[in-house]
Amino acid sequence: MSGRRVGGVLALSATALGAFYLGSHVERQRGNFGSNNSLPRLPGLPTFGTVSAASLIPAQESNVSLAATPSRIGQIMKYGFPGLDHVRSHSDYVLSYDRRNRVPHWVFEHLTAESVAKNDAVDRSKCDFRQDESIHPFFRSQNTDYRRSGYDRGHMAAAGNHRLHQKHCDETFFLSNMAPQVGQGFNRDAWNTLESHVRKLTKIYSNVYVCTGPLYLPHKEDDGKNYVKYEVIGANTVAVPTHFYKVIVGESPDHKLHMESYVMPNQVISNDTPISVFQVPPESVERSAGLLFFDQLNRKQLTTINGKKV
Amino acid sequence: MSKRKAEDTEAEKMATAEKVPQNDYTIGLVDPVKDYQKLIETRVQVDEIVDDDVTKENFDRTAAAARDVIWRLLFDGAENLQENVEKATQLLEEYRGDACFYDPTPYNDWIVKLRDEVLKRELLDFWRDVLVKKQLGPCWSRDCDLFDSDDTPPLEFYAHAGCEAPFAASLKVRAALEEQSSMNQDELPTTPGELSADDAAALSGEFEAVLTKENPLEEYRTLMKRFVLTKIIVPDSVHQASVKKMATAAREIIWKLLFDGPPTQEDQDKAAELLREYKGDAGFYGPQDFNEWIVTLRDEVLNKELLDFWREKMVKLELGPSCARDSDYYDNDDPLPLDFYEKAGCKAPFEATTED
Repeated sequence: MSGRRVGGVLALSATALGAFYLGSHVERQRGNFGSNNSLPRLPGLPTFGTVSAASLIPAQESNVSLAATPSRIGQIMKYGFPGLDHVRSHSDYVLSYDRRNRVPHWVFEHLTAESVAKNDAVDRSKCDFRQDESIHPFFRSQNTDYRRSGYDRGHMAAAGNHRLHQKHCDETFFLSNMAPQVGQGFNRDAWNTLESHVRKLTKIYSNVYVCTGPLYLPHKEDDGKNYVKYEVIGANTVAVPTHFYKVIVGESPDHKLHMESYVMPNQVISNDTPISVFQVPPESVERSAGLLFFDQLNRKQLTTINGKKV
Repeated sequence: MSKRKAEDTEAEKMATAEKVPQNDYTIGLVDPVKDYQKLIETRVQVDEIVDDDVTKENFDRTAAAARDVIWRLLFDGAENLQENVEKATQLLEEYRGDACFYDPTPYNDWIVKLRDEVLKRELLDFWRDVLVKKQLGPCWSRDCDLFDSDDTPPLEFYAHAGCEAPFAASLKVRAALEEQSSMNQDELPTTPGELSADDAAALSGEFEAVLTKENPLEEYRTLMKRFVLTKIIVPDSVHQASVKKMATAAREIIWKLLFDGPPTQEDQDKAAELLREYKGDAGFYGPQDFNEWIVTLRDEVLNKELLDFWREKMVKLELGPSCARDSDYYDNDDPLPLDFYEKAGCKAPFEATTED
């Protein structure tokens, strides 16, 4: 092979390679949606070693953290992560996002009497439902999906649980924290009653940990087979869960642990139904959700489950 | 996809640009509802991803225009009042529905001013038949997901000029119910169920598997149901041992039915029934043992010259070795057991798979 031919081949391949990389660079720059395709980043899984009951937590956080600090996330997730898919850490709650269904897998909160107390500095009516820009546009739910769908934008992490600072409350209004919920008779009533019940638990327990999320439960149809069937709404096909759960652990002042777990159907529930009707064994929620709640905690350590001595 | 979307928005932009300038939020008095809806459709309810601040701003401007037009229709004292009240009513209903979703606060503030003006001018029909009857007062948890049952219902708004809120009665009933339910807080026990005796036996694998000549198929099914097909989690080794135990019992009783002396037609039928059921289970749990044993059964059947049983049952009902036709242990690449059936002038009841 002559030197010239080698040179020619080299020049040709250099050009081809160069063109390829330039092309892919331009593609990336142009992006395939909107004006900019840079997703703002939220802290996901903590990159600071581990989060566990062993991580050092300041006894008194006198200053309210406005960012998702390791110590705050460690506190919220003290009893373990139910799952690790697409974890998003906000300043006062942690969320795992289900990109396929455009709703959360679960949200985790840590409540104290202080954090749920009425606070004049926090005004719920100042909050707006906003799309979560940290979620890739393909998997984002939007207000247009919910408008006139017949469903509410139902909070998983409730706004009323985060009253230490306006920012904490604002962050519960991200649409990534919503799932379609039946409005009257559920979101604004029975589900709201359960949320208030969880807040009231802070009067009994010094710390209340709660995990909330959707379920898609099967039902038997006329052919005797079981199917999972759920509606999807809007252009982004946001899943309408069939049920929602809350699994709660309260730490009493004498360091005893008490668990409650609820499953409620996403439908109109009459106001005279006591919420205790919806108590179920925590294992049954775990089976249906495909998640383990309070995994770092041996069930034998619990003093009561749903009010019954263990 | 991206390209197509870009073209669509281009086209849309062009279309709206031709008709209305971007910054014009005019709602005319001729057909105010239609103008309003058009603004919502093109500036607010957009299916592309738009910055929420932009959407909010667009809705706020549309809302302000709507409020302005409603006010003018009601209080400008222009001609043919009835028609204007009609228009105002329709636009108010439409706007309120959107306010409930996008931004209830400005509506809730403004509707109080509107009510006061309505009462001051003594437009009492409008007050009673429109604002009160159609419940067009402040947005609340009855119609808006920005509120819940902890928020105070807007009862006071309606308590004017001898009216009261149409929902006042239902709130009273509700309060009474809440009173009641807080008094009887009874809880349902949720104790995990004890293991039934059958489940315990399935878990340990300790059960008697004996089938009789009377009704072997039924007995086999019952035992399977009780000790093998359980809902509890059983270690694989125990489960496999239980399946083997059942298989052994099935093979033994089939052998007895056929070879304890010349079998009656009834015994042959029973043997074939059970053999079919056992073969089906073997195809699922693992056909190895069945495939070996069925050859010895065939040889004994031919040896004892039970030719009816061979032709009518084993060949016709395809009771030979398990294969891709009846078990997910095999696939198309596995050879079919044709030669098993090629005895006493018979052939397999199925064709060899043709190589494509």
